[in-house]
Amino acid sequence: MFRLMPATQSYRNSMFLAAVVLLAALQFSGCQMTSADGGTPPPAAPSATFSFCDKEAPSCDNETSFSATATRDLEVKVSWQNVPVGNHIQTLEILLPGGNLYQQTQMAFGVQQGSDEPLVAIQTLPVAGTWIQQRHLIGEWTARVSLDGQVVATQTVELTP
Amino acid sequence: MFRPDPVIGTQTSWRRWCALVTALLIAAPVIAREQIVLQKSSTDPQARGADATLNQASPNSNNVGDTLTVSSVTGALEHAIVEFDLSRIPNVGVKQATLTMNVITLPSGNVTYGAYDVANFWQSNAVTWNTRVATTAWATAGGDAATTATDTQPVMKNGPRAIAFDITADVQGWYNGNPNYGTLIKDTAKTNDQKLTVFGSSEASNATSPSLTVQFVQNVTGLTATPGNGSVTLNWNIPALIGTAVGTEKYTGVLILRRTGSPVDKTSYPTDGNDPGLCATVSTGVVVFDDATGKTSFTDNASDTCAGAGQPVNGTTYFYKVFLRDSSNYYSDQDVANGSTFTEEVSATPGATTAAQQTTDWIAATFATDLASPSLIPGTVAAVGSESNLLFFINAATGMREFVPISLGGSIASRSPVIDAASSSTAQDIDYVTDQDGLVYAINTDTGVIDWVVNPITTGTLSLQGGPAVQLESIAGGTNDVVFFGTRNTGTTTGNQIFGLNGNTGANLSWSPLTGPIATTNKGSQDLDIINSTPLVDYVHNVIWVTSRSACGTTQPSLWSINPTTGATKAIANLGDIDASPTLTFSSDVLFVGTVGDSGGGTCTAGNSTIYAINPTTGATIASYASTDGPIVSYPVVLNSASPYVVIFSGTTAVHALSIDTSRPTPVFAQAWSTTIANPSAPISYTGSSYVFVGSSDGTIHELNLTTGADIKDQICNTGATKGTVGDPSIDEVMSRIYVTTTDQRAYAFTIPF
Repeated sequence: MFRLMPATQSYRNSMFLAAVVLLAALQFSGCQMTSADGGTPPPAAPSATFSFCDKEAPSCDNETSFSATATRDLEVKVSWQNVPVGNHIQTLEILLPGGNLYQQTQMAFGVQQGSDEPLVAIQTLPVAGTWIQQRHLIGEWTARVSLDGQVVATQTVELTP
Repeated sequence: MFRPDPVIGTQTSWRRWCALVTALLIAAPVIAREQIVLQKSSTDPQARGADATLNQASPNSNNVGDTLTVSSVTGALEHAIVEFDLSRIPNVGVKQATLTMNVITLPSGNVTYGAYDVANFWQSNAVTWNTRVATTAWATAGGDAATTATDTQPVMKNGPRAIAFDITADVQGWYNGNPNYGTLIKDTAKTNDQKLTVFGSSEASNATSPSLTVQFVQNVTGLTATPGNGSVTLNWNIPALIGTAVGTEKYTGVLILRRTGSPVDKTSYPTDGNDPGLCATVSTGVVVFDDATGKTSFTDNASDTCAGAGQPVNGTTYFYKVFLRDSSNYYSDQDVANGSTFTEEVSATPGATTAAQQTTDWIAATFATDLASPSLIPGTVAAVGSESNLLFFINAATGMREFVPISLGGSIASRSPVIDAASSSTAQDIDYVTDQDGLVYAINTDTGVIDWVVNPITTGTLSLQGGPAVQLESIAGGTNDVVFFGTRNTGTTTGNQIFGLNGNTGANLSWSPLTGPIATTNKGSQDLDIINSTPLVDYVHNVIWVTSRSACGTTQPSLWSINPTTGATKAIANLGDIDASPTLTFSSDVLFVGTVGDSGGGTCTAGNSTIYAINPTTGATIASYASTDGPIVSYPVVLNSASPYVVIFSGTTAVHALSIDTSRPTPVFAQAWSTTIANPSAPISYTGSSYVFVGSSDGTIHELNLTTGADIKDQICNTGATKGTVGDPSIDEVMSRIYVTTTDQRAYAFTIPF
């Protein structure tokens, strides 16, 4: 609740309020570029996005549904952003429809100082001739990726008959 | 539900005291939360332990010796890599783990070292700064490991010399589904401070060898569930001490969680130091038994009045997870954020009649999916792979782990054959494994020691899906067993490979690999598409049968017979894409195989199988049967010791039995029966049996009448909230048991017939 104040006190409080609001706005606007000490900006948190491809398909445009009877391999691509310099462990979990764990793989990678190359980790999930095809493990699967033990992103993908 | 007896009587104080002490001595075993020190010695060979130094200055040298070095000298960084053999404590919940490195040469100045969880498979006799096994490189030179040290410790120029890292979180992870690739010790400084420290290795004297001190609570042993009419009785044993007691703590009893329909999940475990209390809900489980008096039996019956639990109802399956506890309420689980996956569990279904009652012989956690039939030394051990790089060896009688699961380099997507010592040219009980890291392994099933691991190609990584087949020297002659497998390189439909390795060493045979296009005697060079199946050894005709895909058509072969000695192709057949392994009759006079039934053309969609009877001498088709039930699952089963044969196979919606009399001039398949089963697994039976067993996506194993196909009785693995698809079964005729794995991340054992 905002309450009117006597003129002088009101001015001071308005200035203080304005400062607080400005700081808060900077804090939550995503525009804050400096740390509290005015030095190096704090690093953005790592993030990741998934994309899935039929490895044999000529193109792959954000598809989220694949035929379990016609796909030989499904490529699971994890594109990383804001990964800090150093060595990292990516853990990719592939969950069955219903949530049981199908597969868990770890992948180590390093980010060099000054590197601006896109970070893309590709994991191949064999489909043709596997239990997925033979036992009709179809439905909404989930891919979940962690960086150094912290879950960063999840994405569903549909396997159809 | 258990309720402790009230204290009764009007004894004098000292009499009550004496009675109490006596009762405690009788009731409570004199054992406690335990501690063990794992360190190579004459009594602890640490057979699966390993260590080495990774040296940047000699990046391709394998450095195994009496010392381990950690260096931050510019251009000559050194990391120590250490792995312990945990096989002395396979069935425990880990509470504390401390890695102690013993300094031989102190650094010239103070440094800080970190202990990092290693993220990739390596072998001590091959590991270098650049490579981790064979020719396979680390993703990051110097070892793939976690970014953040699990613990850091100062190493001072004036000592002390025992540097202790708390790696509890890592060890708990190893018992909780993460592969155990050991620990990397390196300088945490980024500035190359030109200092180095020399530690003792496992090759050194006992005094300076690395040690791992683990505090733990064992699991109960001998857990059984006996269903009754409206009741289930559990029995268990409190295990004998295998370490030394921690303080004055004692194992005092068990806490049992119960869940209806599905196993108690991994988020459901009591928190160390707390007693949730009888009838408390712990995530998906309800505490139905809460004892601290050393009891070893509990009957879950009408006296169970817990809200949300209640008396067991006939026809409903109940799952029990049994946590051993000590006097400070430490439990036999890993008290970790993402849930504890391994604690002893069992299930039972009460019924009004014996016939209506069901129980599991054991349940074992496998952490991830596996649907291959477990491989066996009957009556002794069941080997189960996992898509989380772990290989489990489970005691066939008890369901307990023989040792902590073996951590391999990649997912295990097929059956890994176990050969008993009497039959193996290695004179060991041995398991041959292929994984999706492109590696092939020979593993001693008695010790868990990896006898050899190879990348069968000089550079690159094979793509392996199907399992290995083993030709036994004890039958085929020669000097050693031979291991055969094929590749699943989807980058080519023509150039896949077939390998034959010396079973004693892992070395390629002289002809290995055969790479498509493969030269044949009369039909020129033939392309080889991907191989998803496990080959079949044919001792009678001295060939190896391999099935493959064929580029979604019949213009290239999909059935191959290979001379195991020369690699020469003896017969081929163009049957269309095949993913299933072939099966021979008892006398090897007919080979049966089923195709994927691909539609052909550009889309290449799996369709309906054709089942073929093949002349194993010529590869010619004797008869065929066009199924209308999708592609065959895994392999056909052939019964009878002579023609007419019964061929049983699973399709998409049913299990089918065909008969064929191959002694006739023109044999034909005739359908004997067909029984609807939801997404059936491969069937299993054996000559002399009256039944066929098959898993299903309905979470059960079905027992079918062999003659009629009638669905006689089912055994429930998991039909509840986390219902899993049941994989291909194995039958242990010594134990009269059937073993399956399911997508609910468990293996189950049941007595047969149901």
